[in-house]
Amino acid sequence: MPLEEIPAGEQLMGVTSLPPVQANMQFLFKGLIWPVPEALETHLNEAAQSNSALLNETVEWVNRVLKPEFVAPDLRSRLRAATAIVNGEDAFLDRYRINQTIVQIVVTKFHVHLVLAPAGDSPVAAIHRYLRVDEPGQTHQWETAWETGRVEHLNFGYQALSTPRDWRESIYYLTNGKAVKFSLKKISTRPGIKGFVATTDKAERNWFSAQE
Amino acid sequence: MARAPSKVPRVRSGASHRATLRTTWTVRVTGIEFIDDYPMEANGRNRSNTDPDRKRYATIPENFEGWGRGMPLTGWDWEGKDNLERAACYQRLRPIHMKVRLRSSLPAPTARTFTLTVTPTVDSSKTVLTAGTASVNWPAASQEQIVPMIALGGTLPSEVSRYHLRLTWSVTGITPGGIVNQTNHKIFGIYDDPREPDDPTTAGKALTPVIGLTKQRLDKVTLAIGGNDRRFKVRTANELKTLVWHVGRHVNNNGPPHFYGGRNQHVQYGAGGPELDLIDNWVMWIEGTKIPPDTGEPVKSWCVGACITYAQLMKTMLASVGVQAVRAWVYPKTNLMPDGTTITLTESDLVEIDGGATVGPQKHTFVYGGLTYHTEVKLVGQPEVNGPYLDNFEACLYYQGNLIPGAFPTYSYPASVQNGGVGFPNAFSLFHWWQSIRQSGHPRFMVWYSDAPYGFFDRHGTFYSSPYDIASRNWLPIP
Repeated sequence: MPLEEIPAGEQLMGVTSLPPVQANMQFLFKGLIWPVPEALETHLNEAAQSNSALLNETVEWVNRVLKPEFVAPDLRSRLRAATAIVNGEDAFLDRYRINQTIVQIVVTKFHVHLVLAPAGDSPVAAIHRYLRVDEPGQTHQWETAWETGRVEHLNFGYQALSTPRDWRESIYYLTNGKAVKFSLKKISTRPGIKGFVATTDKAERNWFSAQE
Repeated sequence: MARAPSKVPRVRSGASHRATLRTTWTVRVTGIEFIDDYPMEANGRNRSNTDPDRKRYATIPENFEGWGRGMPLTGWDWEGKDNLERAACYQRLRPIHMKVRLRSSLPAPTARTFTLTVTPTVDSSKTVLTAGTASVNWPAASQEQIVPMIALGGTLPSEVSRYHLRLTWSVTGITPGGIVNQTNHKIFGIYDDPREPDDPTTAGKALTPVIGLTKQRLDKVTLAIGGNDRRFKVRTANELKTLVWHVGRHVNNNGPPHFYGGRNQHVQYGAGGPELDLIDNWVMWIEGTKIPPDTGEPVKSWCVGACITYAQLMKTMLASVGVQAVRAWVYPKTNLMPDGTTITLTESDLVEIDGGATVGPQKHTFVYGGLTYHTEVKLVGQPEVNGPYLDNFEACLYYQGNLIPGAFPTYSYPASVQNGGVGFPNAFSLFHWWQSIRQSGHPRFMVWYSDAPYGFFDRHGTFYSSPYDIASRNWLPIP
């Protein structure tokens, strides 16, 4: 299935700048706005792009989360690494159209953000459609009810949890009905751990320089 | 003409002639196998499948430096020369039995019967065990016989110990009689059948079949228990408590292990790599090559463990010598709820003992800024590179009412606990000590925390994006 490129200036949910929401809601918009071509060009980080450990981790997470039919076969060579590019954070990015589906990928130090279109009937149905949340023959059930709301003409939903046990529990979404953004934390399944670092936005900004 | 010298040595006469011929029938010990003991395995390195190693974790490209499980050691424990790196393991208060192989200097001209005697010293003592005998019937023309069982007199002391056993072998009833061999051995005496290292019950259950006993592991646990003498008496319940404390103290005070909070009781290789069986938690004693244990984490020794992994190492070590202890978790909790009500917390609210009632973290739901925060009480530690470190619990080893935390050196414990020599007497005392410890000068304190959405709440329910912005007067009170 050939890939189609998405026009450079297009924003998949029509949002071109961070809306004026209060601070505790800003996380909902992370990974949504695609950088303008000039920014992408000037922020490219060739060292990060040739860093096989970073690239491996990024490709591994995309493959872990996104169903194979929505992953570009040549994803590894398509990904672009850019410094301070999305919400001021270092990220690997790519986007394309495949199998009649638009896929936008932004991977940061601690998160994976995916914008997918069409959004389908409901965000939760779209999770099952696009993401690898289900085990073979078993539909994943979230233990906690989805908390939902509306902000700036967009609907959002999240799993309110003190300590998500794996990436599935950390998913939150934002949708305009046509496209849907899923964001999740890179949490490997490991229940019952002693403690953890509650990663901050500040720490998430500098992914590439932290590797040097 | 002179004759050329013969190439055949001339037969000499008299005494010098007799010295060149073996006419005296003697026997000696050529093989000793300890029997009715626990099966042991070679020290494993996980490097190859060439004996004595066994590569049990093919996807872990690390040298286990002898802490792994090698091939099962079967057959003769002694064959012609001392090998103190091969040991036998018995339960305390049990006798030592051996199978012995004898070889004679010549085929026996006639059938004969004699007595084989073995006289032991245990760490130079002649009284711990006493001599044993076996009658040997030797058929004519035979040059080798197996004595199926010879027992030393007495039983091993009620100790968890490593002994140096020196055996003097002698024969009587044939000429010449007397001492034929002296052999040296390492013997371990353990408390009971090795326990299943994952079993959560107070009594535990015997590990069937017995696996995982290696010389290197038993050397280590007897060092932890008995110090350099490797001798420790276990005649009373209090002595057993002290034994458990000694293992806890050794694990906490002797490095490695290396600490990393993102682990459960299993040692895991890297972020998504395989977990080791609990019987192999001994690998925590390896210094280890350094790899990132998780995404974005600095590199650490590959065999790092959290407090519960340390507690499991204690449990696994104790299980190897037949002592059953269990895991336990002490949770940070407050007695002041955000609405101002005070609650009374009991011991059973603070600690979950494996196999007992489930005790979870303390929870509260806040609504702030249009979002719902399902929070739990966490103990905030020092800021790390990627954010504040939060403790879910302090994991411990629990034995007969006492708690020994994992990954804290015992010299940081209150003096009364150090002097008591059995661990913390209850969860409250442990909790008070735990939250009072400073990390690199940073105080530890409790907050309400939510990961999704991200936020912290103080004792009044006020929202913060960083716990370090909370004034100390607004930290959650300690019960």
